[in-house]
Amino acid sequence: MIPWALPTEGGGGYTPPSVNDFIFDVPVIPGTPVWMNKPFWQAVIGALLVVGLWWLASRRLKLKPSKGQFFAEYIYEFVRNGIARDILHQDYKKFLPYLLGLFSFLLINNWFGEFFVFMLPTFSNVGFAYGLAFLSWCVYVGAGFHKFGIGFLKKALIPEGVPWYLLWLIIPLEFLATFVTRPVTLALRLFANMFAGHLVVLVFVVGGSFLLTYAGNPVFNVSGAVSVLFSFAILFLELFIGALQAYIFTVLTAQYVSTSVAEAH
Amino acid sequence: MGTKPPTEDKPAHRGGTEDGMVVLSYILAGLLFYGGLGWLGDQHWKTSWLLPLGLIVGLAASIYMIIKRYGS
Repeated sequence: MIPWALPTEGGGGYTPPSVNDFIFDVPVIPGTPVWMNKPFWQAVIGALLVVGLWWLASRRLKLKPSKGQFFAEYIYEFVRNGIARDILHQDYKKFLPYLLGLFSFLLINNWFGEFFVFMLPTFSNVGFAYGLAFLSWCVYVGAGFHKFGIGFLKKALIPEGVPWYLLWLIIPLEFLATFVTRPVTLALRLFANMFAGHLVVLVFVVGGSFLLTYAGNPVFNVSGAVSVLFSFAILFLELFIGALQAYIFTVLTAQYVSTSVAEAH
Repeated sequence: MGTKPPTEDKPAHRGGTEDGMVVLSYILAGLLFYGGLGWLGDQHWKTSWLLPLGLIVGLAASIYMIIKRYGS
């Protein structure tokens, strides 16, 4: 008996989906270190897919686009016009490669949650979300220091129009908000959305199939079937949420870069 | 593709949901910092009113800062 399994009526041995379903302490390839687990390989495959797909898409571009080229250009222009140029204005070119890579990497990894074979959003593992948020942190802090040198600290910590006698109140807040809570909220928003979404899917699929195969109770079986069918609707919702979270992460990264490099006015 | 996008030069202001998510980090920072100071003070002086005071001061400071940064 697994200790965290709820005792069910009749001792059916039902194990509800829980946090334990997100722990992968077995390496995918036997003999490799433990940290080379399922999410790790998903992230690697996701990165390779991003590189490979964009490489394929940028090869042999035609003036009259094929369907594939049209689709690739649609995504490219969505990130370039809808996110990068809209937020960063004239500075957008330098950051477009990162933003586009970020968006496609997030989109692919989030959609792994609905994809056969994988069936797990990589960022439902909080460490990966922290890693990506740290990368974005490096980009927007680095961009600020690159543009203003050490003066970036003054610009980031001292907002304009605040009287000097309030500065002691504001400076620690500005520091925390810019350098600590921004990346943390960025990571946690992505992680919590992916984690919760995947858990909901697990509840419907695992619980539903348990009820569906429960012997001798037709009511259970019917509700199980309904639950399994409904899980498909949830999966479609998750597709939407995955795209939305990829968009939000990218937009916020662009926002942070734009506040870092914006001229004081 | 192929056409050069016009470079607009209006101030970075989009409003809506994104700004809301950006200010979230400010609100958290205020609550965490001054709430944390209050909690530490409570632990040190064995009082119980510094934590709520710190939370209120932190929230007020956060809102003040958000108005300064995004209000105009």
